[in-house]
Amino acid sequence: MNRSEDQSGRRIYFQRRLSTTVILTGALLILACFTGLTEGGVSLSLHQILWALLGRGTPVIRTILWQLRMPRILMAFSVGGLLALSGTLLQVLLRNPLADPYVLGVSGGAAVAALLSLLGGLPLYWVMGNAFIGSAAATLLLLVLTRLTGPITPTRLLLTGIVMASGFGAIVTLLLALSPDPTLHAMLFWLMGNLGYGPGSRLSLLALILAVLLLWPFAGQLNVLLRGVDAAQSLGVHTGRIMIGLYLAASLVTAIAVTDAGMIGFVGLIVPHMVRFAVGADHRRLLPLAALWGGSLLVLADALARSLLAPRELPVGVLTAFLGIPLFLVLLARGNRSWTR
Amino acid sequence: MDPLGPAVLAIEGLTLDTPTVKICHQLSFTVSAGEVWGILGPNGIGKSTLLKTLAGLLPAPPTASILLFGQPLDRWSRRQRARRMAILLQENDPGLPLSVLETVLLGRHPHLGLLGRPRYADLRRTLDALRITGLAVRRNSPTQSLSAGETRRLAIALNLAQNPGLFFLDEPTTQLDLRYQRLMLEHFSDAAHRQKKAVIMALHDPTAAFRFTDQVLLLLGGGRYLVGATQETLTPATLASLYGTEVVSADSCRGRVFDFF
Repeated sequence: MNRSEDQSGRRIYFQRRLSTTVILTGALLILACFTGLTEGGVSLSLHQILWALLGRGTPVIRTILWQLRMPRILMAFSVGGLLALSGTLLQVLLRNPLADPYVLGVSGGAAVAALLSLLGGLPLYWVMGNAFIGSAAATLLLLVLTRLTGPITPTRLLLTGIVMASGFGAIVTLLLALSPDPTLHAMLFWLMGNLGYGPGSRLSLLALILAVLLLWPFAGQLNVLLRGVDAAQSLGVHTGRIMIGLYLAASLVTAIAVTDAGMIGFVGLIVPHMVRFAVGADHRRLLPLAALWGGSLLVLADALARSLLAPRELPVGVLTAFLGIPLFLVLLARGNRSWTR
Repeated sequence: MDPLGPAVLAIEGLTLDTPTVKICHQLSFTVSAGEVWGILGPNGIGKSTLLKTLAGLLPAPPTASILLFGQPLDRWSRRQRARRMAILLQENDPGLPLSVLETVLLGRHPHLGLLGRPRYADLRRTLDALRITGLAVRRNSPTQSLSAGETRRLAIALNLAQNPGLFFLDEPTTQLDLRYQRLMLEHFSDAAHRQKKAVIMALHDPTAAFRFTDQVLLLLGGGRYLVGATQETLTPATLASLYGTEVVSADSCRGRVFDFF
C-alpha cells in the first residue's frame, strides 16, 4: 500500500462530511435562535430584535425579548438537547434503534414521580430527585419485565416499553382525576409537553453542557459497545460498568427534561437518527451533535407551537409527535430488514 | 522458564460443564507462539463455550488454571488482555450503522489513548486488515449493506486490526466462499508461523484442519478429549469415533483429504 492511499484513507475517516456538518449545525443554530426570538404571540422583525439586543428599542420589546423569549429558547434548547441525548444513550444501552425515553415509558416513570411530588407540594429539588428515581425505576422495570417474560430481543423490549408507557399514562390520568381542580390545567399542560408551565429551573442548560462533556470521553467505548456486549468485552471495555453508567445517565437526563417540560415525545428518537444519517454512528460526533440538533429542533418546534394559533399556544409535544410518528413507522419498516432482525 | 518466554496460553485442570453437556474433564494443554491449534467435535459439544471461557468471556471454574503469557487470565486488566488476545465470535450483532472502516477501526480500541483518537499507525493497520480480507473497496459502505460472507470477513478484519498475540477463532470459515476460506486460513497460519502468533480455532472441516493446524484438540463428548499433533491425531479412525460416521482419507501432495459415508 502506498502513502497516498494511506492519506486518502485518513481523509476518508477523519473528514468525511464533517465540514458540511459543521456549517449545517451552525446554520441550524442561527435559524433556531432567530425563529425562537421573532415568532410568538407578537411577531418581531429582525430589525427590532437587533436593536433590542443592543439595548435600544422600546422597553416593551426589550422586556419581551429578555424576560420572555430568551429564557424560553434557552429552556427549549436544553430540553431538546437532553431528550436527544437520552435517546442516543438508550439506543446504545438497549441496542435498539427505536429506543426513545417517551416511547419506552422512561419519561412516563419520571412524570408519575414528578406529578406525585408536585401534588404532595414538595420543593423543586425533590420533584427533580423523585423524577430521577421514577425514570431509573422505569428503565429497570423495563429490563426486568422483558427478561422475566423471555429473552431480551429488540422487538420484545419495545413491546414491553410501549405497554409500560401506556400504563404510566393511565396512572397520570388517574392522578389528574384525583387532583384538586385549580392546579389541574397547568399540570395537564405541563404533562402534555409544554415549555411554559414546568416547575423547571434554569440549571438545565448547565446540565446539558455537563452531560455532553462528561459523556464525551466515553464515546469510543460506546462505539465498541455497538458490536455487542461480548465483542465489546473482548475489546477491553468494562461492559458492566459502562452499561450501568449509561443507564444512570439516561435516567438522569430524562428526569431533568421531564421536570422542565413534561412529556415531549420523539425528539430522542428523531434526532439521533438524523445525526447518524448525516455523519454516521460514531459517538464522538453523535453525542455533541445530537445535543445541538435536538436543542435547535425543539426551539424551532416551540416557536412553531407558539405562533401557529397565536395568541393560543399549542403544547410543543403535539408538534414533535406529528414529526416523530411517521419517522418511527419508517424506521420500524426498515428495522425489520436490518436492525431488529 | 522456557528460554522463549512463557507459553502464550497454558491450561491446566479445566473441567467445564453446562447443564446439558460435559464439555471437558481435567483438560490440560499448552499453546506456544507460532502454533495453530484446531478444536474439533460434533455440534453442541461445547466448542464455542470452551473458546469463550478461554477468552475470559465466560467465567472459568476456580479450580482451573489458565495462564495467558504466564499470568492468570483474571489478573490482566481488560485492556491489556484485549491487546494480547482477540476472539472471533460465531455470531455478530448487526448493531447500529457504522461504516466498514469505522467498524474495523474498533479493533484498535484497546491500543488507543484515553480519548480514543486513532493515530496514523492505527489507521494503517486497519487498512491492512481491510486489504487482507478483501474489503478495502467497501470501506465506506454501511455494515448493513454487506453480504453474509462479507460480514464474516468484516469480523475477521476487526480481529486482525486488533493485532493480538493469540487469536481465538470460532469457525472462521463459515459463510466464506472457497477462495476466502483458503485465503483466511492461509493468512492465519502464516501469521502464526512467520510472526509467531498463536491461533486456536474451532473447525468442522477435517481436511482444512489437517492442512492448516499443527495441533488438535478433539472433544469426544462426556468430558473426554484427545490432544495431539495433527499429523498423528487426525486419522479416519479418530474422526469416525468423533463424529460417529465412517470416514476415509486419501493422502495427497498437499495433505490429507477426508471424506465420509
